[in-house]
Amino acid sequence: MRLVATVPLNTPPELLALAEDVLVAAARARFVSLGSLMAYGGPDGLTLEIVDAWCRAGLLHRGRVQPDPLRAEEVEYVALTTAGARALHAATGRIVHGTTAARLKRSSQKRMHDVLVGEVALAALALAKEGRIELVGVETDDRRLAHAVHIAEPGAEPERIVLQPDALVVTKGPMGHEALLVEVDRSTTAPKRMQLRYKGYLAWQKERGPLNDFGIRALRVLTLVPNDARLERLHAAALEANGGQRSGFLIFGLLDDVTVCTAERLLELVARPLGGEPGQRVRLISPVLRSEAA
Amino acid sequence: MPLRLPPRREPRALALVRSQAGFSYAVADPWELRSAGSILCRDLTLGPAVARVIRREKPTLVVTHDRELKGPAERAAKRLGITATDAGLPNLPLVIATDLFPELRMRAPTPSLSKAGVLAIAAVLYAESPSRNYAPRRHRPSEHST
Repeated sequence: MRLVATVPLNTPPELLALAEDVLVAAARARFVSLGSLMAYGGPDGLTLEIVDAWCRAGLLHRGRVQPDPLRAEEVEYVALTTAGARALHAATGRIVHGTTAARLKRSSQKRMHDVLVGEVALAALALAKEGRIELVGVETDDRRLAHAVHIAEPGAEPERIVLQPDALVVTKGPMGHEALLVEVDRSTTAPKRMQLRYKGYLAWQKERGPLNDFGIRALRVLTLVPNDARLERLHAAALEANGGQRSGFLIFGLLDDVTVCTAERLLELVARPLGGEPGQRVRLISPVLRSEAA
Repeated sequence: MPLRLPPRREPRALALVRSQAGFSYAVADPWELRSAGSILCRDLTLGPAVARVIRREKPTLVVTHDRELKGPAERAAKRLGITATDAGLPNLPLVIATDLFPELRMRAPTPSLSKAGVLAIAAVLYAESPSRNYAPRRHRPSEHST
């Protein structure tokens, strides 16, 4: 006989608000490292025992990924299951989507990439929870963000470039809606291929793509890379794609700057714009004005 | 018993709303707001632009309240064999639409997109549309074979 948790979310009633907050965050980030989830929910009372109980009840899937195939180091992650999404909806009325079994069975490298994308989403959610930014929405399903652009230049065959950013973060700043399309790079794609992608993004921007497809004029594409050397390489590739011209549309940052533990760095000058001086940095997200926050 | 055919996400409603420099559209199904966007076009190219969006988004139902968009939408829908309606859909409040489809705030941030999104959601909830037939398969064994 199969045991079924009879208490909604397998959680005592006093912890229901915490459960809703944490599980909704896990659903929006899709794949979250266990450490980051604890950093997100720990201050509100989330403990490892509660996470274990959720995993036993089938609300969360717990797995391990190997960031570097040449090292034995592993990262533990959690993801909301489809059963968890259904239970959350039944208990709280919140409509969320769980991670399907097919996604959970993907290769370790792909899941590690998803964990890094989830890290960005969770950092934005953590800032919004603290009231530092006004978050409109986060989308981490790349299939929902995918689009394509056609480039037709004289003397060359028309090209169709598929643009599939990893995440979209939409916030409301003092000047209106702002958005970041996030590309997480793990140094596994050749700079030449990334250059083609940047060419596509720049063509998309020239065709008013951000406004036509997302309804947001202030949209930028953020590429997050693991180290400075890779940042320089991709910056050079993007600069070549833009004919040596500077642009604030493409910005580059380090993965270490965008984690739950360093979430406030999203509000600092950490990203390098395309074509800017080597030391020039711009802010990723505009903070909420103090008067608005009050 | 295994399903012979997978369930389809229907109705898939496409709502069109006239904006200053063209029109805005939104596509919704009972699960989520699939897409939303704006198309820039002049009056002369309004018809082909509407037909292009309908062909691209593959809806089972097209809905619009605007007089200028109604003609092109109906013509394109008739050609593709889908339903086009502007019949009295109830005015769905934005709060309810956002509650049912939380992604509406993010995918449709401008007033024009939001209006199209709410109309598409109202169509999903209240409009009646015939379900789309599956394309016939050449090698499917006939159920009525003798």
